[in-house]
Amino acid sequence: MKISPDKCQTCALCLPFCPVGAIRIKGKKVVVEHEECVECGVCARSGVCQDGAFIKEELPWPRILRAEFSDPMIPHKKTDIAGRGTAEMKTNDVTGRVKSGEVGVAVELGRPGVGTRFTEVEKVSREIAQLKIPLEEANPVSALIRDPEKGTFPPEILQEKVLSAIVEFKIPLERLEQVMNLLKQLLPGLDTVASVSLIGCSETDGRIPLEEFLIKKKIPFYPNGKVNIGLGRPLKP
Amino acid sequence: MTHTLHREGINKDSNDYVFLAMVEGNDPQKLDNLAELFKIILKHKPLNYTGKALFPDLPAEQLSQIYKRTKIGMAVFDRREDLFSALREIKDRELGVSVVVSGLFPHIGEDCKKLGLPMHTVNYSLGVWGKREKLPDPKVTEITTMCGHGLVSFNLVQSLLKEIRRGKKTLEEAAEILTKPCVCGVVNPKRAVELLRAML
Repeated sequence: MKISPDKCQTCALCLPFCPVGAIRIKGKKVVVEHEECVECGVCARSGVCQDGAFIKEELPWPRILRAEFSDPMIPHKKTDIAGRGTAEMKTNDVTGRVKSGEVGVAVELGRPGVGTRFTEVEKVSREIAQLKIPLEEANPVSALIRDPEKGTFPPEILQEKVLSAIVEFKIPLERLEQVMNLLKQLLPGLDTVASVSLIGCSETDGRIPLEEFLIKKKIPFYPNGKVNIGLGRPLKP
Repeated sequence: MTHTLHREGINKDSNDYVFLAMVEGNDPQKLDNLAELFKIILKHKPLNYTGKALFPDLPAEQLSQIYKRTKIGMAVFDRREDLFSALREIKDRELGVSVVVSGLFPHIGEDCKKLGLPMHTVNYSLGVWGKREKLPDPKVTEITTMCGHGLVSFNLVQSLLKEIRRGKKTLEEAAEILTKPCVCGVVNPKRAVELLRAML
């Protein structure tokens, strides 16, 4: 995103709308800091600029990744899903992506509201690769991995900044403690925040083994969350 | 993971219940059913919903056609009973579309039991890890995390608070502005009013 210096009247009303604080006053001009902008499009969509000063640019590779990971109006090419590009548990009643006895794990780097560069995302994907855990295929972060055994990205994308990106994988419940220990050591060293979440299925008797595990291990979790209520069944003939 | 999982500060007084429906793949029958499903949702008067910020005057009939193209739609209710009624109608119609509900687990559990539905798959938030010192006052993130894609900026909340204190905006006007960046339409404006009020 750019601001037209000819059209901008320097009212600065747009500054607070930017989720990553990339709109700044430089001298007597309001500018978008190119390196900090995540191309989410909030500024232009907000309608705050009465002078039409925002200019959407054509985004070449790898800068286009900023828009794909930050602007929910743009679907990811790999998954054809907008937002962070993964269906995760939303359709698990249809896909069976996470099955009984398994745990889905998602580490969303940059959330909430801080943003991340792919350098930080790679720090997580590398460690997961070290544990020989494959990343979720239907996820745009996984699609960017160049070397799955090492969990590395192409070097040219590492400095790209996005609002958030999700490292997603699944493991047997028995491996959850190992993964939690890794995340406890790894995440405080990153130059961003990460929202961490887990997915588990209920058993036929209604028990949710993942919840039992979290309680037993005294791992705190929010009292609120998301529940797929199992309506996504095949259509009636 | 995404959209409404990591909403911070939710308790029994939050009056915040979020609905999501999604079709995996391109089955035209299921996409038609997704459109049908959202006609039901909109009939039950959610506070906010996907498309409201971008197309505030579009009738339900046309909005539901948009959901067919995006294959996903969301809505937020402040009354649990409204969402419950919508869910009962959707269940009875047997539309075969995946539905996800966000809220307090005990509430969802009770409602699933009454509807005879399973808590098929559950998504737990373990909260925010890493460099938490980069975050503002938790009261601010209680507002901003209502947009799961992070499109509501911390600075916008602070800026609107200043305008409310100066008498330039009402709480309701500020809350309305906070709903706009969230294109999914899941920022709850009534909850935003209460959270802003608590920060004055």
